[in-house]
Amino acid sequence: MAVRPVAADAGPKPVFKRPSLRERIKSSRTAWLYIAPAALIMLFVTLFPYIYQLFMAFTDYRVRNLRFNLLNPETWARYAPPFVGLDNFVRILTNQLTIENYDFWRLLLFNITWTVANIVFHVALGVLIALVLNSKTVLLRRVYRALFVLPWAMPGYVAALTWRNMYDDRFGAINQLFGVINRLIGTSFPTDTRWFVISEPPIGGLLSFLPLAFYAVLLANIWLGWPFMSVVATGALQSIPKELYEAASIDGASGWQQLRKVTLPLIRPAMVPAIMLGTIWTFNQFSVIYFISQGNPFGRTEILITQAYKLVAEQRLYGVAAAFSIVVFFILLSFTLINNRVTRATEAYDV
Amino acid sequence: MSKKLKGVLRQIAIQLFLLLVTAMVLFPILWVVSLALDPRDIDKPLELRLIPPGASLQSFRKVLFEPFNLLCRDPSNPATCMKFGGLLRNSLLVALGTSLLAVVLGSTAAYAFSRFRFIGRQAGMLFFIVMIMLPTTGLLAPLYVLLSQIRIGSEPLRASLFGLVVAYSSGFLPFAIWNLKGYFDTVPKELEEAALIDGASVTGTFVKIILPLSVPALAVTVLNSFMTGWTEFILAWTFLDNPSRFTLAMALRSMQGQFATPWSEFAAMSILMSLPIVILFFLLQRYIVSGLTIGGVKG
Amino acid sequence: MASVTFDHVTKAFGEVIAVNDLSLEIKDKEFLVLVGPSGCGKTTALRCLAGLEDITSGTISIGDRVVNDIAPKDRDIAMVFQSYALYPHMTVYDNMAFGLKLRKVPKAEIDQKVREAAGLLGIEALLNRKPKQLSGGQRQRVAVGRAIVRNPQVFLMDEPLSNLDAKLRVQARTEISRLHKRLETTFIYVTHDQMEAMTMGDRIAVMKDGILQQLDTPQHLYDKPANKFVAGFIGSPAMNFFDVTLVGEDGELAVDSGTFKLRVPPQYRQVLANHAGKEVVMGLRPEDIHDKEFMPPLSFSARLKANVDVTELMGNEVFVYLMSGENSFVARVDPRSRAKAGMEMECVANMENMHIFDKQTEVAIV
Ligand SMILES: Nc1ncnc2c1ncn2[C@@H]1O[C@H](COP(=O)(O)OP(=O)(O)O)[C@@H](O)[C@H]1O
Ligand SMILES: [Mg+2]
Repeated sequence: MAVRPVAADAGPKPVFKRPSLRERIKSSRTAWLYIAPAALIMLFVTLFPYIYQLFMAFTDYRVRNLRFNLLNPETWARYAPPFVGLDNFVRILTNQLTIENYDFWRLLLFNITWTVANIVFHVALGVLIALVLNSKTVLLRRVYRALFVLPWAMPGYVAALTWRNMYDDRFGAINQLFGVINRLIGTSFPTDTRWFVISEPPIGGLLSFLPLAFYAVLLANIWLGWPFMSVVATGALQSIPKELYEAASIDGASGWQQLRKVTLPLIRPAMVPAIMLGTIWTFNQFSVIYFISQGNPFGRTEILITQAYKLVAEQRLYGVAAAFSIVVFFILLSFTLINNRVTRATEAYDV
Repeated sequence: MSKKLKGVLRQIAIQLFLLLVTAMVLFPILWVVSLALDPRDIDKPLELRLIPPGASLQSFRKVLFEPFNLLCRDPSNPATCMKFGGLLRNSLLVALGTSLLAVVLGSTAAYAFSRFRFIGRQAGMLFFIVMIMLPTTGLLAPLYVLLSQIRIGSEPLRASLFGLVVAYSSGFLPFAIWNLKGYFDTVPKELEEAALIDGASVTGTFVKIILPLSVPALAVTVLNSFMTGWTEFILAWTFLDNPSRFTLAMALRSMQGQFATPWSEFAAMSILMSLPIVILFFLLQRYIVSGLTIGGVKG
Repeated sequence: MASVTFDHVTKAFGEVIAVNDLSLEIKDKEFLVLVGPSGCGKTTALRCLAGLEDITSGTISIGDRVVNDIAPKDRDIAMVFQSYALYPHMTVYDNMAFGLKLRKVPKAEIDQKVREAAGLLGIEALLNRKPKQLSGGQRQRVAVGRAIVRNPQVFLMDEPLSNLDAKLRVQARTEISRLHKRLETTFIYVTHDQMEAMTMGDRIAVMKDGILQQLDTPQHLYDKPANKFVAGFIGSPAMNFFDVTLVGEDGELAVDSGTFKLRVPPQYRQVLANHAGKEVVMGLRPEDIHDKEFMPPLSFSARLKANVDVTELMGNEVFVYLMSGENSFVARVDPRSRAKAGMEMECVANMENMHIFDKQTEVAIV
């Protein structure tokens, strides 16, 4: 058999050619076939309305303009909404809307406070309870796990309506609960609190912009929101290899150190996107505010998105509402971008 | 302190804590149950009792079999009012339609994003993240206009249940695609390659390998999209004209906000509406932890 | 009818050239082993043949058919993956039947084929289990079973034994060889383990950095490595290399390392004559260096002295690690040898088995 003498790194360098545009289009075809159905429906039912909304935001769009139809030239002259440039945005930002108690910057401040307070509680509670239930020695942990998803499993809107009724000043469960407590241990909590009417802030100083109603909706939304974070944390906890704890305890780490040095860093990569998503959802948590506090007292528990809805539902100011949505979008976009930079700087830990 | 005693004390402390959490979790739920059982026809719960005196299932009977007198084609004629059965049928149609569309369209698109490298992939993923962020409230008007233009037979798509299904699933798709893609990414590519060599087509590997292995993520998609269709009512309230199309969510909404809330009926209705979701949730519970791909966690 | 030909095949991933101008002819019914260090492009070459990667240039044929543009499923091949890639949601039976079902083979025939393959591999009892319930060795058999039920023209195996423990690996090695004899089809087997390659292959293709170094029978590869890389890669312990100068001495030729000088056997003199005076690399396998006291009869040998660094008793032989000047090397000597660390040992080198490589190109001269 012939021995072919070959130098170890001989061999011609192949010539590269980038695949031509045509080839790339060809190889993209299967992919696009798979995407087409979803893309089509989203194009028409989601993207197009968004673009239309962009258009509306620069016009004074009112009820009569709903007859305006791009496809029907007859409607153009009669129903086309007047173009107003940035007027809607200016009115939103400079509080020139004819809504009672409207103040954009207060709304924004409240919306951010609302989001931060919620996320802090959701994450803290969710992680704490996931941690407690992660220990194999805890009795009945399967039962607790099943019970604790109930708030998540209950349709959010039913839950919101339920909480609204729980806060009823005369017949609601919360005031009645205080009654029961008073009877049992002889305290004298008020049992006729009008949760969404009192405008006196329970905590003064820096937090005096938060009425009692804020704490009431916050409680309801904590009830609703923590199980999601708990489930994500549970998933992350279950994927931590046991050997890591064993190694840590051999290294002499105490329980507390293990938590800080092993557990928390390792569930972080899962929690960060969950927190991002949770932030977006909470920032736009429509049903809780809309049903429970309805923005009361005096619009001080209104968030941007409920205010936008009221512009449509009560005042029929479609153009202003569209501009409102765009403002909300940009706030969330900047949050995501900032957050992305922060998380990228502290990349995920490899296990 | 002995190790055993320490363990017992720890267990007691943990159990106390968990019981407290359980009490808080169950309080609203038990309250609704007790309201629903309240037999007094006075509409107003007066005190906190788990089983009110003389508890009965009357309010369930009323909700289930009597017409909803606010959802009528002709308010003067009770025969034209919707009953629970009709509402349930509409809700099921909308919820099942939404989840079917979300699963089929979501998984095919997610598959492409997970497995192919193609022109527009990056842009597409960015698009979904943006979509998840955009508030939908402002879309009410443009969507109303748009769906009114499209006609099926003699009526606009807007006023049909199918119109709702399309709107809901489309709104849910960005999250569905994002989540499913994350899960598909964790299925080893070699499994697909083995199937390709075994003789499967691209579609064959998708249907026979990827989908069966992604049951958890599909379950999460089904659950969430079903829930969207089942509970959404703002679009439904705005778009639907004909009471015979109304859904349970709309009926529940109609019970609220009158001067006198019919407490017992409201509670019974809440329970009836929550039950299917809770059951679905428990059926799919073992998939939920692993099926959410947030952060690339795989159970 | 099922030969395989790589004709100037190149595969590049962006800037990385995984397979570089590979030309290789694999005969019908041959057991060809593709061996090389990790990352040298073995898997990529196999995947190109399977159709899982599009090649950048060149042609690949199976039999007379150019398969460049043919889908994997139409190439009539089967592949055993390194990770086995068993379908986790299917039972062992369904895993094996999957390919046949897709090809619309009648049910009864599928059943017969699956049971036959299972019998051959001794996995009948596992047919109703899921992959998760199997041990590593069982999974490997199922993966092989899945490949053989299809009765393909060519079997591709990508390091199928690398996930097994040492003992199982040796056993599985002989089983695969036996399977090859029985099935009488072309096997292309990828491994990074030269021992596996040497014991299993009819022929072996050695690769490095995407380039084919040598294609030969195990014996030839061992005896006549084409370059320094192949010489060092094949054989364990590896061949010793010495930096030496070829010197001419009254009509004879010798290699000079600075601390020792060894005469070159007459049959090599002519080839090496025009390299006289040049620096080259000499290779000697450990088994060609003997303890002087226990040396076998050799027709042409040379003596050298070296200091013993460490000895390793392996039972029927001893590895002696030696130092001579700058050169350290290993000798594989008779177990009766009295070599001890620290002492000086007198060695005899079997110069008939010496190798000489060009210092720059590393190509074998002798
Ligand atoms: N899909 C890919 N993308 C980019 N580079 C790759 C890819 N697959 C393999 N490579 C590179 O090609 C080279 C050869 O890889 P491989 O064929 O897997 O080696 P082997 O199987 O011999 O260990 C390596 O440098 C590897 O990093
Ligand atoms: Mg490899």
